[in-house]
Amino acid sequence: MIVSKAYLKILKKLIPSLFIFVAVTVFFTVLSVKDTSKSEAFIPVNPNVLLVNLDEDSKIIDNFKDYLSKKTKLTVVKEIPKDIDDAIFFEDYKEVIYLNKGFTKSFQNKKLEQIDIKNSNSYSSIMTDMVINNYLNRLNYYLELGLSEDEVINSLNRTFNEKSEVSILKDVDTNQLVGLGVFYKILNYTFISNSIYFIAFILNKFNEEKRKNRQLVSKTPFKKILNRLFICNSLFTIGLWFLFVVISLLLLGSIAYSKYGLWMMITSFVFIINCMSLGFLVASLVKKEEPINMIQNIYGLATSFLCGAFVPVMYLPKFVVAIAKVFPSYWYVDTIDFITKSDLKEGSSFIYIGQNLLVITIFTIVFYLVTQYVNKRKV
Amino acid sequence: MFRHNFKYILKVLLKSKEMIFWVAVFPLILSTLFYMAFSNLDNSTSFKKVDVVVVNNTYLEKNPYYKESLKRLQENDILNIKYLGKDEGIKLLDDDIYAVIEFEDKAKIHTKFNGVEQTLVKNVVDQIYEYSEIYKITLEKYAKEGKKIDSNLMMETAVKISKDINFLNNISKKQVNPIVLSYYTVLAMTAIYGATIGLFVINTFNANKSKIGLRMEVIPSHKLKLILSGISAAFLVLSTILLIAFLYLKFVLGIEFGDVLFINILLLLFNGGLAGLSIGVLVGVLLKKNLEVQIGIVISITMVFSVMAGMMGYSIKRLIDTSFPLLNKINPVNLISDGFYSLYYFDDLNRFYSNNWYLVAITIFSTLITYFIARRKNYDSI
Repeated sequence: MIVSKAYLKILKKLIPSLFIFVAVTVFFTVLSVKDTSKSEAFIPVNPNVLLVNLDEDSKIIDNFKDYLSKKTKLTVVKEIPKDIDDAIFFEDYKEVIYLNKGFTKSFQNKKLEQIDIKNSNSYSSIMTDMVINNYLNRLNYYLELGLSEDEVINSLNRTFNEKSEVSILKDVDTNQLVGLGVFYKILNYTFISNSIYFIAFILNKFNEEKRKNRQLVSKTPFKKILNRLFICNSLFTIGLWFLFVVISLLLLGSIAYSKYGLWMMITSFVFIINCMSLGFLVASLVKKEEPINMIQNIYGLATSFLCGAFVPVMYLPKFVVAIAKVFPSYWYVDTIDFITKSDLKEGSSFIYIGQNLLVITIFTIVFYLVTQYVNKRKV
Repeated sequence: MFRHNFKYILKVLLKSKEMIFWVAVFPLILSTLFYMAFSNLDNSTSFKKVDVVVVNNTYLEKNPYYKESLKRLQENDILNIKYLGKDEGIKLLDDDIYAVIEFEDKAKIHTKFNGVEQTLVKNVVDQIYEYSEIYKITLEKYAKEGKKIDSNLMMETAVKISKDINFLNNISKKQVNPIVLSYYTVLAMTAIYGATIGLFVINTFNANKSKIGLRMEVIPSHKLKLILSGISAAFLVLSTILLIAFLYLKFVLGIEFGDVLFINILLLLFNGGLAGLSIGVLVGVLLKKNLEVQIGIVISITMVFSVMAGMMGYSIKRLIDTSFPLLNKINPVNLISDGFYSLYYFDDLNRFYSNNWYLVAITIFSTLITYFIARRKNYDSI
């Protein structure tokens, strides 16, 4: 009881840090999951485009605007905004189209000229280039064919009628599912940081020379004290996991209760146990409090950046992915990614998840064995 | 005395492991992590083929035109196509295939998620179907004109329709890579982490904070001289760290800083470093807590400032710049990183100088407050 009380006393002092981690996790989840709107149907990811119309309004410009508003999130202005370069750099707009004076005239004269654009050189802006060029090529073709102004506009409308439909083959809201995946991936940093910081910090306090001497001469056997500390840390870890599961339920709603949510919960539980064993390992290696903060930050950030928690694995260089495989975080993030993508209907899906969870468990056992070895050497 | 004290503080600073870690080592580790994680991002965001499966059905066999268009899309590096059965294709959606396309009277695209790639596939498929409509319109026009439609005319029409002219004149600035902002913020964070060095120095001279401070209080030398020697040593250490960090980013990681004069980089770095030191000294005078707590507070606030300046995503900086501009005008980390951004992105130096003036204002403001608080400080007489 005395051990638990002392544990709680130290833990209480650290609670404000926990709140910071909760706030940071929620903040980055909300920021990363820009669109959690319900959508079981396909919603095209249209780029933000700014059309600066410096010409007079005309039928052809209206038609161009109509076309663009179907293919992009279009904003039309009559003057060039002041901070346009900032807006492009920070990708407020993936593309800015300048319709200079004389655009309508060149259309009426049946001699289309090039139009000026500025873009952020991103994937979306290249796609937007294709969309705009497609319109102008069609327009040019109809002009060369010798159609009248009204005929050109009618023909363009006929041409750009949608001819395909997209079906989403997932049985859940995909936007929310992606959001749930992001939340659980960010937990990689949260779990590692909290486990190392709290467990190592508290155990370090118990290992301070004066405290340790008192423990050694007390009535309670030292082994019992260690067991109590282990139970306290386990309860803290489970509590921490439970807290973030509840946050996921509150933040992301029904998707967190689905089979996908359930499997992510299981995966995160296996992972947080791994983080706990890492916390014990750090506590056994470190003698002072200061390095705990350094280790927590470096290991937490390194695994989050290199293992795909902050940047998707598909964007990481191959050599980084190869390095990442030696960290349990890689297998955790890979499992979350797999759950997001898979339908979780076939046996092979569960075998894949099972294998990854086994790898994380093996890491946990290794951390535990190394901790035991270090502690024995200390004695 | 100045020289002796300068040397002494320099030695003490260089031996402070925790401080050296946070000011010198941590930013280098963080920027290396950024580099490892982001180095591919620039290539990844530029265009790459989208992997799709096209269902090999009878409709596609009967309309060789569609197959021809798909072939062209593959040749133009837009799509990477596998021809398979529908079920086989749908199974591959669990892997790296973005969409399964089924050509019928109206094309069906099967996918699992909303995304840019899926949107591109839809646009491309719509464009393939546009051709048949253009043919129809062309034939209607020929019929109206009473033209004889033979194979030659059809061939000529097909060539005209497929003609792809570039109607876009790209007038963008050449350098657009928002990821550089993360690195600039790391450098800015390092400068403001210099506040911990300022804290260390001011705590060393405070009689109620350290034993050294007690001794300093009774030595026969002007206190201002002592503090100046300490601050000079701190500035030397911080400037060296900042210079190493800059050289590491520029020459080891190859981060773009634009085609700018080195003197401008130095001006911004040293100006930022001075602001960091002066903030540290001010915090040291204002807070009565011990050095560890003061360092903890400074590091946490600097971290928040860094996030606001765009270290963890440029969208946060943009959000604050547009919604709460004043907040980033008093954020020293943002002023430094924005200074680097303006050197990298803009041709004129107006914004760069404006950022520097704000930093000078922060330094003067912090120093003045420190001065007024410090001169009123009294210790109990015994």
